[in-house]
Amino acid sequence: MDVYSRPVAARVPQRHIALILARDLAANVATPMLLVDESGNLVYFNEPAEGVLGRPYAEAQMTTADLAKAFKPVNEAGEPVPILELPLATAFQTGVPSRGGFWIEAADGRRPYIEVVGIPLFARVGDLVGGLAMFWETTPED
Amino acid sequence: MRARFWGTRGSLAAPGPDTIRYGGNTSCIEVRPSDGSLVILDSGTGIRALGLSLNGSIPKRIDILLSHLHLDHLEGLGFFAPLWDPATELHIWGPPSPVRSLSDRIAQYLSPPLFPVRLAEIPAQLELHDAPEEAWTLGSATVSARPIIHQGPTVGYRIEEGGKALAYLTDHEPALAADLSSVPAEWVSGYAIAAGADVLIHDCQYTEAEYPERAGFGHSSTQHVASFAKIAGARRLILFHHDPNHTDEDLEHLCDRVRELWDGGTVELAREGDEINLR
Repeated sequence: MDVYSRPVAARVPQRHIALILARDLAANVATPMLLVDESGNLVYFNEPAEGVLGRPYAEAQMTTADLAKAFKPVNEAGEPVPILELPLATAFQTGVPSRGGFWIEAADGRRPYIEVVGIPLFARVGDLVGGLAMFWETTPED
Repeated sequence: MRARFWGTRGSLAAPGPDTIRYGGNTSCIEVRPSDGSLVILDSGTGIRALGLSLNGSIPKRIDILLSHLHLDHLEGLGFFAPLWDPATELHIWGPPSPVRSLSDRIAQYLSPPLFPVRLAEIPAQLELHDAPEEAWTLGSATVSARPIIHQGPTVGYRIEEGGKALAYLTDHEPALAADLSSVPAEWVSGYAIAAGADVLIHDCQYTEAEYPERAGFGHSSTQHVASFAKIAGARRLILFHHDPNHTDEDLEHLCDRVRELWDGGTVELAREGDEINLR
């Protein structure tokens, strides 16, 4: 069955309801948050996140690789942190929330240290529909 | 494909002189794809009369599509005549829950002390299904289901045949999660179900004045349903899930208001006994 002969509901683009509700949560809280879809593509970040990341959110998709390039997560020595070691990527791989801290080279030239909690969003058991990351600027623990 | 309204009321059955034109029974719609198979949207109190209308000629297979398990969508099931016929193959589809099976959730109602007979003791051959993510076939129609915003697990259904589509979003509050005047369609609950529908049957429980005190209850106002119909590009909008406190006259005012807000297609009130033909 080719895509155009499939029922309309199967080919009309619509985010999963869990992502729609997560976006509403993100839009109404003061904690920086970003959302990714089931493939790890960035689909939204809220206004508090714009302050940390140093750039406004545009209604455009960005792959995880683009995201990493744009915000350049680095360790204390300034070396890049591999994408797959970031908390949200870890959460996707393990299926459970993950936490971590690193520096980012923000788009506005700052280099804040942030801590991140990455949470996979399962609509039902085994059905990964996306993920969210909550993060905040802080100082690294010794 | 044709459809007939057996129950149009929301929340609670409301029979009486004030609701006689549009009906007091809770949600139930009979859908007949062109091959004559019987598909039923929700089993509110309206399903009792639907069962009686079969008048002994009960199809061997009947499919009931439950939008969710609130009582106004379930309470008629025990009084649906084919349930008591062991020859009936009754397939019940409903929203998946991350926690409990559909059977466990329905059994909570179909068991003492709420009902005298247990689900396991029902004579009909029952098969319960989580509404799948992929479209499936019922008779000559294709059905799709998607989770939508309401209180608890809830799905909207889209039934398609011969290039025509009927979308059913009976309890739905898309405005809870999005500013419907500005958010892209892909971020609107129910969009995939309703997009381009020939007939959109949608929740319109509240006036704009009533809504602020009921935000989060899982229902839409006149303004919300008008905005949603515009986003979906529906051709014919049928206002459904009438508030039990709204009289026939109230409903007509409410319908006029939706017509003021949206002129993209026809707007009418769901009325018990009315039929829709999709050809």
